[in-house]
Amino acid sequence: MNIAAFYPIYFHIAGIAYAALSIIEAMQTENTKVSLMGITSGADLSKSFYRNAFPVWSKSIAYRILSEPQIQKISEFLFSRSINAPDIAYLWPATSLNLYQNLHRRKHKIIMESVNTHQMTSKPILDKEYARLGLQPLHGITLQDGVLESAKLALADFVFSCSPAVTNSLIAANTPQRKILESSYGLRKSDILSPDEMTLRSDNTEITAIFVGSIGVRKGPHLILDYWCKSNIKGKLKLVGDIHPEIRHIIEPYLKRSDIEHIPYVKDLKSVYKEADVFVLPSLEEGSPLVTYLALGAGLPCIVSPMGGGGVIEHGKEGFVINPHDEQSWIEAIRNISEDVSLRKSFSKNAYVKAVEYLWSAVGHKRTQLLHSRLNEQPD
Amino acid sequence: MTYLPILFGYHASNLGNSHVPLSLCRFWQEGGRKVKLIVASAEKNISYPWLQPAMTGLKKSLVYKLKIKDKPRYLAENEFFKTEMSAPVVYLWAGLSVDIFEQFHKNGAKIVIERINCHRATSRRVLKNAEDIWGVQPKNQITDEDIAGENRKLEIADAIFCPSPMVKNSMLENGVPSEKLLSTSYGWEPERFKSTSLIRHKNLKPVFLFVGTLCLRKGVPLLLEAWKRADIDGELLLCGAVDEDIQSGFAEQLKGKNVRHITYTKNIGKIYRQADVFVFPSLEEGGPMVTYEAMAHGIPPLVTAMGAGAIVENGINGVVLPDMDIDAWATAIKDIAENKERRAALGENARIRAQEFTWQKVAEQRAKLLEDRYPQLWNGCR
Repeated sequence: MNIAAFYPIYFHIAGIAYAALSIIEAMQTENTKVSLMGITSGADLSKSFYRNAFPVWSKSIAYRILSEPQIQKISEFLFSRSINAPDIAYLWPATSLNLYQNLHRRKHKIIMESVNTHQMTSKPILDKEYARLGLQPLHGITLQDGVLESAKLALADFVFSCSPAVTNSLIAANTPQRKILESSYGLRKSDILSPDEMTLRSDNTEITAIFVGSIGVRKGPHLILDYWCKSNIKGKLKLVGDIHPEIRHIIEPYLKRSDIEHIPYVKDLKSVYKEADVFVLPSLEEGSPLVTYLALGAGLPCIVSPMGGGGVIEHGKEGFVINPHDEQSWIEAIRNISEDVSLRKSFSKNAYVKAVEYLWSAVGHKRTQLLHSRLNEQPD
Repeated sequence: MTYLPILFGYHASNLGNSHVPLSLCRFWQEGGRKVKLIVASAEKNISYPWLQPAMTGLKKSLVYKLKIKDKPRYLAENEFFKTEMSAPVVYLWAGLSVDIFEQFHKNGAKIVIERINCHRATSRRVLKNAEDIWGVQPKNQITDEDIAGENRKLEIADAIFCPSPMVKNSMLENGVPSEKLLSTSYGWEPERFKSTSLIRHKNLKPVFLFVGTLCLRKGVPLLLEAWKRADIDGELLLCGAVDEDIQSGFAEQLKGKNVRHITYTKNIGKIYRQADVFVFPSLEEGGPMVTYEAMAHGIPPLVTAMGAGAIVENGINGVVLPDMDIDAWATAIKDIAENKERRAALGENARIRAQEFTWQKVAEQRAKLLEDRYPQLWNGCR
């Protein structure tokens, strides 16, 4: 079986591009070959299955003389030309409806990758939160986007869903269950602390909590800042990531406090996790955040919203899963984690043990198996 | 040079140690890298154009019947020197005489050695310590002469294949220069283990499997004691011949609660399919092939650093435990017995990890190491 994947973005070894590379690398088996095409990449990216629509040497010229829509169009043309008759097309976000239609016409089976909840679900969630904060809805999702997404889903034979929240949103958008392939994201071996490093955490009640990700409305940093202050515990809350302009005025006053620290960028994220005692993520909307998997690998107890937990954190097992607006429960959870060292340790152990279930190698492997079994069930 | 001459001084059965040179040679040859492997003798069903036994037919049966110590090895060495004396690079297996090393050294050949165990000085230290702790009578002691002989071989060798990080450490510990050391691994053969793709037995109670000779060196006393302390509702399945030291000192424990012993069987794939956890607390090992094989079957391993070989990554696809800490082993046994999900996750990762260690891949990795070091090697044929 040949699968040709397409993700029209600039590839570098970070973020969602790195997730795509990891998954596709791990999906390869003796009889399943998966290739991947992106627009272009850094010169250091060398994977045998990956190729650029625009070779590295040409990228500066291309970006100078062509507009972004032109670059996307040419990339899609090159991808569409490279895909042969029985190959399955595996399309990542940002692929145009045009390409879906073209491939569908040519009778290719199409798999779609959903990295976030369906925009029909995410839009109202975000609209509401922006309004609650008295902000214009600057999240950039329009009704039109949701309609386009549904049109693509209609043409797709399968869709990989990375979390239960994404699955629910797909079902809410009338996607038939038979199309949905439930999976997850994951982490690398090197993201998992060694058993020795795991023993280094203190039994102190003075804890370090970390929030990792872009600091915008969607991930709820304003919520955790509020809950942290109200919990009134000893310790430090570190926010790691860029602050979005839309929310800067809400975040900045908190940064004056001595128990809150903002780290705009960090090269060695693993050390941040290693030195922390608890991971917090009260996201309003997510697919399945990679930072949560890193928390498992670092054996961190988690206090997360259902979306922030990405379907991998179980309430009462690796931490607490709490509705992002349930202020009282968040405050209690933070206090609990700080005071109850044995609870913290047990969450930590469970998280650490769970991490190995989500290595990219295992995730990719399961995806291929799942796809094979579904294809076998499907009449031609 | 057109081919690489390799000497293995024992009978080639494709079981145990001889499986390693046979597998490497097979894949090198298939990939266009020509070899000649001289062995003392070979099983009837093992025949390749590149395999040359020093003894066949009547001579073979006579020599083995007369049981003249070291005679098969001596004949293989003679044959090898006679035909390969002018070779610029030779690959010599463990257990050969110092003489054959000296002969090739005198002729100016570059000698590559395969280590199948740690440095003997390390082995002696490790075993002495274990004998004291467990009160076992020492046997087949490694002598000072053995160590001197080994040091001489290592001195004149140009490169040394170390099939695990522990073997490499033992070389460094004994003053072997690191430039000589080639880090590699052992492997496993998918064709031999069709069982890897079959579904494993669903046991009601977890079965913990040990495969190998039941001896002090492989940590069997610790395993038996840890098993007793863990006191779980499961079964310890020991598969292999029993050494005297265990037979005399640990007979009671061998018949202990939930312990079952079976002798080694050729159809070991069937045994792997019955297991839920692989346990291998070896004190000294070169490359534990059984660990590779168990992992290929998706069985999570509990091992010592020696038992881990080059394959187990602690906490990711197995658990690496200290080799003298009975309580740590008992706790780990209990933990993994109680946590079915963890077993499944580690086992799945083990299966995936093992895919990187098929003999075909290991042969490729080793060939690259040799080609980097000896650019003239295989030039003529690739």
